[in-house]
Amino acid sequence: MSHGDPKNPKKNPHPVQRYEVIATADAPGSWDSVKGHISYDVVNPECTPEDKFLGVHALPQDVGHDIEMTRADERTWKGYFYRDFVQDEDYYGLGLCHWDVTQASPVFTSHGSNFVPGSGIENVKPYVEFFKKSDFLNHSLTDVGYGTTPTDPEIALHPSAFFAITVTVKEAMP
Amino acid sequence: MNPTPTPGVSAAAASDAYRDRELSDIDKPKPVFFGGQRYTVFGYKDDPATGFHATAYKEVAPPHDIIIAYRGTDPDFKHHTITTAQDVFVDFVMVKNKVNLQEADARAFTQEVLDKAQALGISGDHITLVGHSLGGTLAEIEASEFGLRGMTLNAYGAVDLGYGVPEGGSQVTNYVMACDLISAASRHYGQTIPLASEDDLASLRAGRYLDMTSGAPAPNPLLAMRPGDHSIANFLPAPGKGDPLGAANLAQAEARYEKHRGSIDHFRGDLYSGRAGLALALNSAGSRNLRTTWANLPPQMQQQLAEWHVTMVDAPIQSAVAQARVVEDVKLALDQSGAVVHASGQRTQQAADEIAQRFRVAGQTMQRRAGDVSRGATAFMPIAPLAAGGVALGAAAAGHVADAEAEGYARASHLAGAAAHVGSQFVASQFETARHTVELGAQLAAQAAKEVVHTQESALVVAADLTINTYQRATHAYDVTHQAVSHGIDEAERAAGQAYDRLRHPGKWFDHAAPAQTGPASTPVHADDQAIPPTEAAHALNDPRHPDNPNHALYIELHQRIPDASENRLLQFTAACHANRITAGNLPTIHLDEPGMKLHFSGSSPMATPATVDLNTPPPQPRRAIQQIQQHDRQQVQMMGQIQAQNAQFNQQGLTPGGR
Repeated sequence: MSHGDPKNPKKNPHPVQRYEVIATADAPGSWDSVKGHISYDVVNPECTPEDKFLGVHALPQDVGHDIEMTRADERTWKGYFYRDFVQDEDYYGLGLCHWDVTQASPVFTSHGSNFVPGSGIENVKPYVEFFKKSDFLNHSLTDVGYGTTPTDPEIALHPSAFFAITVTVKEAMP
Repeated sequence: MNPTPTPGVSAAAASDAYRDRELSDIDKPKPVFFGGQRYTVFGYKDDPATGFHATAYKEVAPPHDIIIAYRGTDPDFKHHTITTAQDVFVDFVMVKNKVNLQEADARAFTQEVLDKAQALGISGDHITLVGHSLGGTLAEIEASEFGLRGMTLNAYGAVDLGYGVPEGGSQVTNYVMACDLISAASRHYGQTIPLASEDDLASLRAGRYLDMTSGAPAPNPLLAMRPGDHSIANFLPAPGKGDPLGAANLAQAEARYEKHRGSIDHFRGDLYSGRAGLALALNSAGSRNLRTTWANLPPQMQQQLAEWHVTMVDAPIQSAVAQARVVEDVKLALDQSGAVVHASGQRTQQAADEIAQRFRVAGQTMQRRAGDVSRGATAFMPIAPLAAGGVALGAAAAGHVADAEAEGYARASHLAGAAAHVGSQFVASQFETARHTVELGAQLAAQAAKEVVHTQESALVVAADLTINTYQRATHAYDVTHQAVSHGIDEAERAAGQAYDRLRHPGKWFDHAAPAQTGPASTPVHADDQAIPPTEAAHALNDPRHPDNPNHALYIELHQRIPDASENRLLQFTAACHANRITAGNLPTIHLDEPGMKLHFSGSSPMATPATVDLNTPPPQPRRAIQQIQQHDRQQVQMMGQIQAQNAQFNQQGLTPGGR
């Protein structure tokens, strides 16, 4: 029995898996806005038709939505989302397609540029990315400010040139 | 230094490129994991007008490698299945058209990503272009264009597509599966590394490229190719097989290739040199007519396809039928019948209906007469093995016609003939035998009825038993076989429609896994061997009476339409029709001009021209008619050769992509 449109997946009317995103940024200035971005994907390809010749599944496009982040202190913001926000459905008669979170990132914005650590729901420990202070201070930066890993040798060489954004994603039962 | 990204990471990116993405994945960089490494989406472009899709990724860790992955073709089933199938086939004109459409998009996207990387201080050394299938074609073109490194998986090589991409070099690594036809039917930019699996070696053996015995026929690339080899799954990690592009597995697969390099190169060379003919032949299938399409194939390809059918389609039928343990029974039935009943299923059904009616009358009469003597004579006997055999065979044939759908190809129409043939022949022979018995039995019964008053009671009982049993058996066999044959024909018609579709869209061959092959020891026996009496099986392949001959359908059609004609006449008609492009499928009218004793044939196809045969002169010997057909075919081949040459010329001169 197939039904539903994978391009417009339904929202789960009774989500229960509530999660918390806690983000801390040591930026050299204030942010214009702080939001959260949660992205969902079908994580069991076998529920979708396969082109056997190519060996490829016709997966639905991912679904993203922004969440509100509220300021907890000088450097910390918190937001909440539901892991089961998107309704699982059997779109193709091949079994239930299961949507899960594939991105749970804070979106820090300064002068139109986003600073977004590539965090997902898999982080048990806090996830840390370092960003360049010069990118933050560069008001003509038109692109995204890209982060790097804490192990980047540049950070050890020039510690004052970087600032960290730390993200913790964890279950938060209401 | 190890190359970064590793082949496994590149393959994961090529696979991920088949995902549709939100634009927010770029400006809120979404994490993606390739081989355990964290990348984020760096760029994405899709162009619905051309079907172009590509995604760029940037590694979070330094040195922030960037991968640009071009999507092969859109796997959206509802809309693009046929395009997908066509795109990836060896049809290089179609590949060229598709690439022509997408190349500008690919170049613009590559430039865009390069600029963005440069702004971040990431040099071209850290940019890798990847792609699977047609995505790999774009990767080869752009790698050559921008002087970047690349890695492709079963790509259709870009060298022959007119972009000035040179063959060879070391900038791009092209991993190809040994028996993949897409990557074989093209020349590649960069280094090509064939990977051979054990399955590949088995296929190469089946295609007579490997471990050939002396005196074996020439290799057949169609038997060696493995549609499943094209799948990107061959390069991705899976539970139980590890990472195929991991160092150990890679070394093993490369070593297998090295060991059988001669055979694999021979096979891939054949695919490369044969691709133009195959593409042309398939493109010439302009009408919804399977037989015309078949007739348009070059003779060598017909032969290769025929063998492919025998092995992939007919052999499984053969083995299934043989396992049903009814073949001997049916053979026996056919031998017994002796009669060469080449009637169509319909005619047989009519004839059988008539005979059945006579049976009923005869049976009633007989019963009436015999009734007084022995009530027990009407007892129903268990169905004879012969009848059960026929039913089983009919059902098996029908079932396998349905199976042929999964197995891929157009032999279904031929199988329909075989199914109807087997069924109808069986019915006919049964009734033939049964009728004699019944008639004899009825006479005996009548005689006996007269004599019953006298002395020979026992003789009558025996005769009545014999008669009634035969009657019951035959009627039952008729009913069930009739059903099986009708079902078989329905199935076959359906399968033939789909088969046509496949011929038009050859990629569809690959929608289903190829059937398991029979072991090399078992000689494939053609399914028709049961259907056609032994005398017929002796005809050469170039004789329309041979079931594998491309004109066999025409011959049979003519025979059904003109049942009184002799074989020599039929061959003469076949040759005349063939020369005028009249086929079994487009032959609506046969007109007999009685005063002139001329037979006029006209075809409904726009290609067909009218044919006339003078019945006043005796028909030529079969040899002459066959020569005539061959002569016509040779002319066709010459013509196709010319078209091909023109095509090649056109490709060289005319189709250089714009702006280059």
